[in-house]
Amino acid sequence: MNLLVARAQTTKLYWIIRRTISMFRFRLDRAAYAARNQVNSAQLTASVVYSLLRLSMKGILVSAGLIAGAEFVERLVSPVLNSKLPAFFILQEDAHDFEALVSQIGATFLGIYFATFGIILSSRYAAIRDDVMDLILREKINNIYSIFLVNLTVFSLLVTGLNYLGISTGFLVFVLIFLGGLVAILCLFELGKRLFLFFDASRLAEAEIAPEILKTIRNASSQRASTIHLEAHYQRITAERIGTLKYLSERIRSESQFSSKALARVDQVYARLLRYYATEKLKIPPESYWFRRISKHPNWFFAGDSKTGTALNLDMFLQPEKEVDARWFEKEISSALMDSFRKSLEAGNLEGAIDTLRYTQIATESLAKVQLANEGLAVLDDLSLCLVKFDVEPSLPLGEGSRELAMHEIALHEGVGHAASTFAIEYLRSAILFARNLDRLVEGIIWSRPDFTGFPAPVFKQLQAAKKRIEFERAIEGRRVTPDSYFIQQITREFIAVLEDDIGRILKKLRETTSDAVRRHLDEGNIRVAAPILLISFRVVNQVGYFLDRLKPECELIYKNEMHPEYKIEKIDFDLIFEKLQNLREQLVELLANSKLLSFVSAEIDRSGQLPDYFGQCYYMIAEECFSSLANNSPKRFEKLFPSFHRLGLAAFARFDPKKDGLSTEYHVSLLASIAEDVLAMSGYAFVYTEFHEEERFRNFVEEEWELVLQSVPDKQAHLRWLIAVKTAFDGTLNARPRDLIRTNWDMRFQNALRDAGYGDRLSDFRSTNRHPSPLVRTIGYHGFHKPSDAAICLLLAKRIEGDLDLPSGLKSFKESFERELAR
Amino acid sequence: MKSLRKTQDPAWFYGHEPKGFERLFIRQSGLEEHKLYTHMFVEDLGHLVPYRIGANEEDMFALETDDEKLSIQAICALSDRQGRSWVDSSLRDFLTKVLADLLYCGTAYYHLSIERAEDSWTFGTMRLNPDYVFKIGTLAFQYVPERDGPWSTSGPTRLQREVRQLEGGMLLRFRLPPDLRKACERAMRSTKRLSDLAWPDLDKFMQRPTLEDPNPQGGVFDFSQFRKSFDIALLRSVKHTGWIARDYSGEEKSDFFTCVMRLRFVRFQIAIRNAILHQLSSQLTKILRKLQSEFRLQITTRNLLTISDIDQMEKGLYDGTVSFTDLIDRSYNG
Repeated sequence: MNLLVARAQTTKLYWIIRRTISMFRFRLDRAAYAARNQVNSAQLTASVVYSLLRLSMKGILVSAGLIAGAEFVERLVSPVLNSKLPAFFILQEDAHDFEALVSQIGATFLGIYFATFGIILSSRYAAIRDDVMDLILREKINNIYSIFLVNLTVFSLLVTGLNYLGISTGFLVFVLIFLGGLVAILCLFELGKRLFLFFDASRLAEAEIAPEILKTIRNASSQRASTIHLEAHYQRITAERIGTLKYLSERIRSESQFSSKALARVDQVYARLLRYYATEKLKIPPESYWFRRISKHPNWFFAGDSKTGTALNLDMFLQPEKEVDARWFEKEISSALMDSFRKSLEAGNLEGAIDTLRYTQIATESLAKVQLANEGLAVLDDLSLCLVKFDVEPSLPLGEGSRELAMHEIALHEGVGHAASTFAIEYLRSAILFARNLDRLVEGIIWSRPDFTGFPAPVFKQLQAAKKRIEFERAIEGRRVTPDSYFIQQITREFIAVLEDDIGRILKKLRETTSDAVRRHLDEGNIRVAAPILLISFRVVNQVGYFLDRLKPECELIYKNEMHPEYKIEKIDFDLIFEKLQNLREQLVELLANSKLLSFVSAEIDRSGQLPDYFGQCYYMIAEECFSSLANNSPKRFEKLFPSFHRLGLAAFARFDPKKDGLSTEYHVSLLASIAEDVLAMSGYAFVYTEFHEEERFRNFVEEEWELVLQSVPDKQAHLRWLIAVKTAFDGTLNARPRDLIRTNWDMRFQNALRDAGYGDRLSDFRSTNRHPSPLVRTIGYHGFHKPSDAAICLLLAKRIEGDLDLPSGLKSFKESFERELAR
Repeated sequence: MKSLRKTQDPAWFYGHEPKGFERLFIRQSGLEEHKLYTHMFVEDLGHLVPYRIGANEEDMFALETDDEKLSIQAICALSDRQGRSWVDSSLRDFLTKVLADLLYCGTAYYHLSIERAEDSWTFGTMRLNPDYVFKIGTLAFQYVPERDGPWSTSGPTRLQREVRQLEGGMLLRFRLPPDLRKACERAMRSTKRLSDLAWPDLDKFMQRPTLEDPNPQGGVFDFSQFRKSFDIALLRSVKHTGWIARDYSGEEKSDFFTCVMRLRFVRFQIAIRNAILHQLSSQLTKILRKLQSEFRLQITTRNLLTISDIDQMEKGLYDGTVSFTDLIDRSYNG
């Protein structure tokens, strides 16, 4: 049979018949499509008629109730009056007048309706594009109403005419006209209101264009009676409608006083479309003509002997290959969103740009859910590029007090970073879910099923390839040859390979949107933006790390599956990934200690609460990182962080105003004491960890740093005495000060380190445990009432104070304990 | 035509085209024709014994015989060689040539001549074109067409056509078992036909330039569609042999499928090899018993893949214990 087909294909007749059949098939498809459309429109008409009837039913019921009530009252009253209402023949006489009245009403309504329609079109959509005009004219509900109104008017007119001609109509006609008139009047108000929505082009996008695109996507993915012609038709229609959406956006933007909300609605339509498409795309076969074709000229050396042989025989160039553009829809939507974003930025409409950004984020999130990493990252790249290209800082009139603009600017930059982080987290989350369900999903595969819903994109491609191979095997052997397990292994391997590749690229993107972005803003002097991005970045890194931690065991489970040697999985190097993540965090920590940034956050005092407290967050975070450097024995890191922390501490003393901040004197002093305690505790811990890790750099660096700071203070002696006085102001009291819990945690960590090193902690039995050789470590570590800040005062500050210093009891006690430990 | 005569000097006629009445009884098997896919198929199937380099080159065949010297002389004579070291290569060449005759003509003929030279025997063989050999019962004849004779002063002499009676007892005749023959015939027939179809005259599908349309675009011929149909037709027609036409349509096939087909092809080769060697052993034994009454020769393979090896590899493939690369390598290296 196949031989016959191959033989037939060498004759011209075969191809002519094929083309003819194809043409007929196309016509049949077109006719079937038109018929389906008619059925759909009939269904829609029925539903609209039902809605109209329901709409009018309320009014009819109320009227009927009133009539019934009137009838009832009339029946009650009639025996009293002893008279009857006029008989039907009386009504018959007046019916003609009534029918004429209804026809007049119908004609008047039609006039009003179309006049309004005309006014809207002429005022709002003058010189409008044909496709939009077509959309308005095709607006279904109003169309049906106008048809109904026209029919009613014509009907009443005809009846009136007949009556005038002497042909009397019956009671039923009268009732119909009567009811029709009621419906026409009741519907006019609702539909008239709807007509006014056309003043807003975004409503048109929402109500008419979006459903149509969704329908074509659904048709393309359903593969019902799918042919090349229909697929190409769906693609063309969708591309045209996206063009219309872009046009409407332009139209809205071109108006002198346009509403940001209207633009946001169109952007929302884009996001909705992409979200829907992300899941539907997986059902569309890769070779479908839904995906746009791009012509590409092949290379003679790569084209293959068959093609080059044919071309040589015919003395012609190689025919261009039609390459599938699988991302055309995403490109269109992303370009539309980017266009909207860019134009909003250019126009200084930051609020609009933020809205667009929000919908872009939703769109990328949808792509991440099905692991379309290429597509998602491309959108994020466009977003970053757009923002870099049209950096808002220089063009904006950011004067003093333009807080709203500043907040928009910050929100914009934060939003880009947030989009990347959401994408990363959503991608990892869906990867975890898929890895967890891999076995279950694979067991449920039926290879003859046309779609593989529920599989992420990388796997889906493999599934499609497997399907093609199975078809080939069936064509050759008449049965399947390759068992499922081989395809499953291949799919799993591909999934892991793509996952590793994607994670690498996602981490790269995260670095771009976090540390690189912060560095760029710092270099450009745009610190207002750099600060929030930096502080949010820590959270992002933390979250990504959390999901990577969860993904690792799932991947380990996959590795345990027995695999054919050929499909042996190359394990994801999670150590390298975590190292990269750690490096990223270290870069962020380094940026946190940047002097420009700290000067900015120290100078910026926002008591309104509109902006986050960057100063406080920086202070808390640097304190933690500084202590971690000591605990982890990282002198280099400590040397970078401690000066920043010290300066933030000094800035914090002057930052709080009891009156402006609404603080009581006692609380204010307590706050200052806590800050002094922090700075001194950190210095004290540096001394302690110097002994503990046997690393002299900690102590030396703290000494140098204090020397530098004290040189910059106008009155060094006063400052030192003030510091000691403030620090010891609350010593001995049981009142908890701010950050006490955090410092207790530091103490606990030091205790843990002592215990882990085998020296026991404060609660150990000292007779049985080995005690640390350093007197300072023993004094701080084993005596609960001595603090590292005491050590800092006694060992660091006391020697710098000239004259007599009356030490408070706590410090005296420390000195005595330390001397005792020294003597041991 | 010369009269019928007995001869010990048969000849191989190459490049002769039957003319006139010769066409009535001489079948044109297409032995000399070069059809693309047929040629590739014969060439691929012809590697019945792998080529090996280095130490493993020899020692692929084992001879179970009473007189090894005589056996080696007879075997080496099959490809005009002498000495033990030539046994493997002689048999390899012999198998390839016999297979080509079997595939194209269905039968292969070799004529063995033995001459006594003092204390030893001298062996000579001649490969006969099967199209010109006829066998009636135990009698074998060779038709010798008109041909050029020795040169004389007036130019080449022309020799008349003749029919020779071959020495039936010294003729080696090879035929494949029915199942293998059927599969081979089908594959040869299909590949010949498909080779003719492989390069259709595309000119007739292209639109001719006219005065109205000097640069016509497009045409009705769909090359990819044609290629797909062609590949399926080719692979379906040779699927019993396991040949996958040198894997040109690679993307469509899974690795597993390629391995399954490869094993099938090797199994087919082994079956053919065993059949030819069996026939060779029995016929040589029969002929050489004229020299030594108790002579016995059995040629078997050694260090080469056997059917049981293929079974084992297939089991490993289905169990997932053998990697595809190892399997393919082993199937090629024997």
